[in-house]
Amino acid sequence: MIKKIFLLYVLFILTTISGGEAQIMSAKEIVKRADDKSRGLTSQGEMVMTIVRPSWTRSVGLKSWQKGTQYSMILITSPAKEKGQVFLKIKTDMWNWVPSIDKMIKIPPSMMMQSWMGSDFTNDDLVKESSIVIDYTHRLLGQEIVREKDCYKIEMIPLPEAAVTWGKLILWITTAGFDEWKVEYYDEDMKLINVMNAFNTQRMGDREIPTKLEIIPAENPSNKTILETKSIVFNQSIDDGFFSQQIMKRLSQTSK
Amino acid sequence: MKHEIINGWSVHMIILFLFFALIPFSSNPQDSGKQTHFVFNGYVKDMQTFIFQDLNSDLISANLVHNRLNLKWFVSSSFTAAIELRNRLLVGNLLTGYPGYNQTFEVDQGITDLSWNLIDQKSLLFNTSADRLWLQYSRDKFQITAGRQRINWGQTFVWNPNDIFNSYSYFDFDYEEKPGSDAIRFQYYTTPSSVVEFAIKSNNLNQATLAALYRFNRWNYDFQFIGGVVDQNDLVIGTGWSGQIAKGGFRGEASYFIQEKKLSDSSSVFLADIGYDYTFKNSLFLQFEFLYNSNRQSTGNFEMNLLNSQVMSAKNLFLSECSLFGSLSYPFTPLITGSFAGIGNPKNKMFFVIPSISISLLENLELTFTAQIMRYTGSEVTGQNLNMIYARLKRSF
Repeated sequence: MIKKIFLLYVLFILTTISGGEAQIMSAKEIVKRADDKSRGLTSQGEMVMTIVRPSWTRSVGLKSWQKGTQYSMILITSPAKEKGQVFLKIKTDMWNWVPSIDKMIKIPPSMMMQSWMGSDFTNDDLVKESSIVIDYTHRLLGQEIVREKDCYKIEMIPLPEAAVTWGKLILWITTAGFDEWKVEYYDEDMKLINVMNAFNTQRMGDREIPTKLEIIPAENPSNKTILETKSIVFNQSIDDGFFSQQIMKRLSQTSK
Repeated sequence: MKHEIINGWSVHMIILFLFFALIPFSSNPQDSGKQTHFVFNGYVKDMQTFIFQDLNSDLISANLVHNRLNLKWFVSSSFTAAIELRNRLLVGNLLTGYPGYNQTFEVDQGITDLSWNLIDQKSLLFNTSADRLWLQYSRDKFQITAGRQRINWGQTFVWNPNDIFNSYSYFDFDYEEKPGSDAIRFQYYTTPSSVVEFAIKSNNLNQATLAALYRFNRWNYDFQFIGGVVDQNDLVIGTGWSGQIAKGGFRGEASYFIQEKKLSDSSSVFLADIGYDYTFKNSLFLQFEFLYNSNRQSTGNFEMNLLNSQVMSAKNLFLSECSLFGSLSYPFTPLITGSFAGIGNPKNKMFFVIPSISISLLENLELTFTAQIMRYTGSEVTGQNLNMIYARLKRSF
């Protein structure tokens, strides 16, 4: 009896040491947990995106409201020229409101692949049209230490019908916090295009998350785009009706 | 005469002074407390224009300092008011080269005249005008806006047959906000992505335009239907859409105008516009548009009026019959974007080439070079070539 309990204990220890939950959690479950954590049920926050080049920088300020994968609203708060523009996503439809000319522009999918205001992020990175859980197949490659954090290393290949720009992603997700700590983006020829690194884990609302993301293009390592989260709250209820063209125009008007 | 005293140097000094003086000191409205009752922004632009027919012809030039001030006032949670002003100072022989050009600044298409030439001399003009001045009431899904406002019912980018309230000219690129109209507009949002609108406006000839729109979203498309009376003269029905084909944007608009008092057999006019745009992964943006304009009043010769938004009508957006537009734009770096556009009208034997380059010098300072090069390919002597070159510096705040 004691022997059996001891064996069970040893087995338990062994499983926790050798990858712990990975033995129990599939690669897909790990990605889902990371995705759920970074999204929450809802989120609303303020961010600053900075494009960094050797001789200059440019910043874009934005406010964002997200609800699941279905709804997203982004308000540009700076620079002056773009301030007041709003992007709205409802399920598979997207619009851009340009207040100066009172124009609602419907955004087609090809525009999603475009870089976000000249940065190394695509529109899709910001609005999260595609889902890292639904639109990919996942394979656990093992565990690695990245910038002092123990991470699951996961390979993700997009499903053929998914509206995704990439050919392959490699994700490093922290084993302790389930944060996307590093991502490598490959094109359809499996050439490395971008590397994303996360930093500055801080408490934001009810959770600790990396508050600084950096994207570096593989071809130009001296270039990068930084996305800093200034504030964010999760799981505060947002009505579906908030994600509407009427509220979109209202937010645009009141943007300071 | 006063203008003769103002020599080249002092004019430049005035321009330079205005350029900086008109930038308000509190150009960072983000710092103003949490209870923002006012939002203030705008820009100052300095644009140098050169117009010539060919290398041997006279050179017409003008320098335009253009300041825009936008002020919004949040009176209460349901009331908002706005005023937007344009201050323009024009110096150059454009004023003498095109007699009456100064008057086009003072023309106001609205019920009230809110455009004043405060200084109007031989080669110097200063005009102040208000092109937005409205009060808005919002409650639940309902909104009413009264005053000078832009009512934009267009779906496409170059020619908008559905934009019956305040048409604009694609060539008038420096008027970024485009004209407004003196109107009362009711909007009711039936769902998060659909709206019913009703609007009534009057122009400076006291002719009323009265029309309704219904826009809704289905099958990843926005569809709209419009109907009404334009300038108490034409009945109009129209439709428009925005959707996608092969991941690119597929948009279009069509309007049919029927003259109420039939003057001739050709008293009805049909305009249709169809467009496609596609963005490649490297951010190269391609755009095409095709316009059919059955309006025979469009003369064969290109007129300066087609460059001016103030005198445009949805009934006659460009030259008659078929016109084609194509453009590609590409961000060489996040700071430098180049574009190349072409517009052609085979029947009237003319085409336009519009190259442009835009450079972000500082966070809020942009330099743009653009040209509108018109070529007439016919043999009639009345047809002529025209070259317009622009350099513009814009400081936004």
